[in-house]
Amino acid sequence: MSRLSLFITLALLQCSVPGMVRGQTFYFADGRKASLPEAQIKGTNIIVPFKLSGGDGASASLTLPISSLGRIEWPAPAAIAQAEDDLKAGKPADALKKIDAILKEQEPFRDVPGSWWNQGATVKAVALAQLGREAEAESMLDQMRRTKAAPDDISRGELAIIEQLASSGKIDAAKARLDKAESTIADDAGLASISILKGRMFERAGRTEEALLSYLRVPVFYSSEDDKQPAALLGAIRAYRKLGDETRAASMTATLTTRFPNSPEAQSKR
Amino acid sequence: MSFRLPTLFRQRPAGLRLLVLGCTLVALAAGQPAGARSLDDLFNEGAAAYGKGDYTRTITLFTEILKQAKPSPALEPVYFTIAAAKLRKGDNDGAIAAFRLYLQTYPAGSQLNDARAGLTKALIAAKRMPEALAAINSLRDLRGRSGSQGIDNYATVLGLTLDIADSLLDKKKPADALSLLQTALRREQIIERQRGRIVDLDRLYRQAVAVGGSGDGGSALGANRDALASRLKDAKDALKSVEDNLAFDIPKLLRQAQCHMELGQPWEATVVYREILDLFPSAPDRVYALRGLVYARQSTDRLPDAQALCQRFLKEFPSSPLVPEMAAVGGQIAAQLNDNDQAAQLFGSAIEKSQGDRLERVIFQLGGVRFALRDWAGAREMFDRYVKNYPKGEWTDNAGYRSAISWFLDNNDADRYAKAEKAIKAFVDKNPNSVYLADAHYRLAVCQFAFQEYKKAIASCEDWEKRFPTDGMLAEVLSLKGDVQKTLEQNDAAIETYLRAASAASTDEVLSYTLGEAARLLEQKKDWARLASVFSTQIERQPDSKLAMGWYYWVARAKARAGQSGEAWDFLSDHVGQQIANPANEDVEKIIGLMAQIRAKERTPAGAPTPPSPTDQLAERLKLADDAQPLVRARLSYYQARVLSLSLKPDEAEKILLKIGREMPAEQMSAALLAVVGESLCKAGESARATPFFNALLDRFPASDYRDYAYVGLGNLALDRNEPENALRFYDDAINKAGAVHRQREATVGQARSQLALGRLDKAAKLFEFIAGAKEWRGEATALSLYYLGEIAVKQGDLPKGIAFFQRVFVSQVRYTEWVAKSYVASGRAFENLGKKPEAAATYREMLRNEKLKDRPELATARTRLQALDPAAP
Repeated sequence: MSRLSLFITLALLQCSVPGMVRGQTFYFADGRKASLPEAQIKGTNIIVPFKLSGGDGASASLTLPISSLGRIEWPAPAAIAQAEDDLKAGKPADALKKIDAILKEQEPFRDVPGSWWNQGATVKAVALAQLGREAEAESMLDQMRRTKAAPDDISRGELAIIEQLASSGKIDAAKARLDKAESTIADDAGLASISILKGRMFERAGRTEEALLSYLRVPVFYSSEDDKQPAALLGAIRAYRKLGDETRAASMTATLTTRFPNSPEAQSKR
Repeated sequence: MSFRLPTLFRQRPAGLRLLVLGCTLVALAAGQPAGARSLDDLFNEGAAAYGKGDYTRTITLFTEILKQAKPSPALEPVYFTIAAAKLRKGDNDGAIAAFRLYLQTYPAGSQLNDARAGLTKALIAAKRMPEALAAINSLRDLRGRSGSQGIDNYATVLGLTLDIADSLLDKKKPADALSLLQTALRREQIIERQRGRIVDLDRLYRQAVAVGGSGDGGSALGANRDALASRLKDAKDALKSVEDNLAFDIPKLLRQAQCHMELGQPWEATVVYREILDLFPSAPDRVYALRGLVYARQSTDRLPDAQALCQRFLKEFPSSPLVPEMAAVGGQIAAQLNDNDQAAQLFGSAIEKSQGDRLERVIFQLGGVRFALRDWAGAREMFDRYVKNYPKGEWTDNAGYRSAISWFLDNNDADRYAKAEKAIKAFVDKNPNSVYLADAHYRLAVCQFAFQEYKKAIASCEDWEKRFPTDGMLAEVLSLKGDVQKTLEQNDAAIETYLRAASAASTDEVLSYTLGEAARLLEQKKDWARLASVFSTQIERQPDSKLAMGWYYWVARAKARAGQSGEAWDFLSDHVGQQIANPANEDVEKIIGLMAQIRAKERTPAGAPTPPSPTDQLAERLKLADDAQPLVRARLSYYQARVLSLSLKPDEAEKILLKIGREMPAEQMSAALLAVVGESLCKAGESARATPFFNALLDRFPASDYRDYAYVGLGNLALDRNEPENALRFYDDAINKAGAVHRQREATVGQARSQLALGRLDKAAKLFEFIAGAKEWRGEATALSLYYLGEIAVKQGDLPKGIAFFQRVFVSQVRYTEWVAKSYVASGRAFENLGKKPEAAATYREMLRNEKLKDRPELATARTRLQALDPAAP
């Protein structure tokens, strides 16, 4: 290590002692660390300022490539949660507007551990799928696959596309994709989504009893997946009604409105 | 559910391993007296004792450590081991206290969750279930944990969960049990977490090796290393046992399904049971899932599915101890589905292996289905067995009575009334307080009627009325009395009795019968005013009755007979329109028939304009559009066919019926149309078209009087396909299930022909003799029966007897050329076989001379045979 680089390393370490860590912190693979706003992101580099020795207050900056980062610490962007809420409320266009800004910000750090790009990309893929822009959603998923996003995130986008295909009447295409997706999805949220999707496909095909059994898999096997329950319960309620079982439909409606009173599905039952 | 659900594999009490931290205890000594053993010595000895299973000694030595040592994190393993030793020793209360002390002292201890599991296990063993439930709840968030906050053996937690769930289910708390089970990890989740735990333990072990070396275990560090090695091995063993057990999730899933069932959630239970059957297609424990699925499907009223599952169960698990239960349930479901043959078979196999309450129930149920199948002897066998084995049983009265009346109902037994009277009297004597006394005395009166003891029968009916004045059978008894009076030709009294019976009738069946009988007697008496009045009053009384159309029929008939034909036709046309689009109203065709009768009798005066066609006339009257629905159009065509038939134009009538069959959808037709059109199609050889008509009749009108048309039609088609066994079943159903209201003769002929085709010559002969002897069936059926009786005699080698039957046909049944021709040929052949060539030749000559047979194909045979016998013959 040269004298200068040793000197810089020391200076960087000084400005990142515990207690001084800011919201966004960059951990470089060689052990160096820097935080915003002192450091700046410019293109594919991070500009890290430091004071030159000598006591005259002179300073300089060091340009470090983002590719040299080992990981980053970045507080969760509020817009992701807001966009997720939009998706839950059935407002994919609003979600898309919010998430684009985040993706732009996170784009340089896409492959860096600690980045929020993948989460944002998931939201964008789902929003695009819900808007019927399947090709763009597919492209988003491809990008996620290239960045080695978590399988659960990719599955979520994949299921959103399948749902869109099914709801737009492209049943065969939806089935083919679903068959493929089923073998790769293992997490409870993904499995619950598959059950709901299958329930809807059975329902559209007029196979009410199979639809009911599919919807019921969610409260039966994935009871802790709260986000998935309202849609599954609402589907089961519709199926019970079609089967002429008003008693069970009423009982399940009570469960929906009591346990998930703020869900859009519960609101629709009020 | 009386059996215990399967448990997980037998597990070692994992998670209770001795844990030693990598530090020496010497440093903790507090004022250790001289000569006392060192803490390290105490620890090593205690640990060694634990390893040998001497838990009492471990507890003593480790308790001594706690007395001597200063409080310190290093004592954590000592506290934990004392608790573990107490649990292993069976001191549950002691273990509970010790684990609680550990958890209190080391709330973030390295074996925190193992201690929670140990506490749960001790609480379960002490049967302190509410506390156990609370304790296991503290392990709930293990789903998301691994590493130091995990547990050495995740499968243990599932085992504890199942124990608590069983206890909750025993205490009828399925909701709590379900909530617990739903948070339990699945096999793949357990495997994932167990692998994580192994990685952590391996890391700790490597650290311990690095610190304590690999020498023998004489030191605390060595003991720590060895303990970690042991824990690591146990964790790996636990992982392997879960990995090896592909059906690991079944016990949990079965309990979950049971919870759903007990919570009245059979659909949810169906989801779980199907999951088990789908995921574990070869696991032995799926037997419980299949059993559970039967009950779940039964609860959701999916009876055909439940029945199929019972069959599957019996096929897949023929030696399971659950077979009797499944056979009994299957029988019950089959009986509910009116599949009594299947029910009898299933109850039969259930009876073989059942015991106790189930045996009692199944004997009675088998009696019941045999009774429904009219297998009277078989039903009696079961009912008598029931009464004998369970004299104070729940169904003894019922079984005893049904056994007695089975004689009464056995139509095939010529002595049935004598046997019934004897059995019913014996029943009454033995059961003076039976709930069936009123019914018994009614049937005894019927027996008297059958014995032609008419006065006694009337007296019995009057006596009955005095004994059971408020009994619901009054209408039936009065109806019987009316029948007896009618037989005695006391028609005025009979009319009044029938009308009283009609007033007391609580069922449409009795009301319809008694009013119909009164109507026929009034008609016989030509009392048109009373006839019209009776039915007009009835219409006023019950204008919405489904029998009302039939009552309109009688009012109109009375008017027509009174010479007011036009008025009658108008009256009927005014009312038939109300129901003409209703396929369920069978009286519509009856009314149309009467209207056709009136119309057919109308004569157009000479010089008067040609009246409109019957169809146009009725359509106009009913204001029907050309695009009226198919049923309405078919009924109009039926009206026209009836008019043509009554105008002696049967071929034209037949063409119209065939047109209905070819052009109208069976699924929209009424029962009467399905019956007559199906029969026409059948006669025309259009079996492919006839079959859906007959099937629709049986499927859509299960209580219709016209069902015998369908059974007979389907029987004829089966016989044409040379399926006599099948055909016989249909003919039997025509009589037994449909009462053969319209087609008894055809059904009986069918039975006889089927028996003949099956080679049961005696049975066939008996039936043909019955048909040939029935005065009311005189006609083609007689000719046919005589011919077949001849055939049977020939088959049995009695050629002269056969010839006598054949001769009876061509002597007395000349109208029925088919049977005459066949009889000539058969007679000639019989003579030939007897070596009586002249007689044979004479028979053939006589046949050839018969002008009526000139178009019969059998003539060719007669000519050939005659040429052979007498080459000089022309």
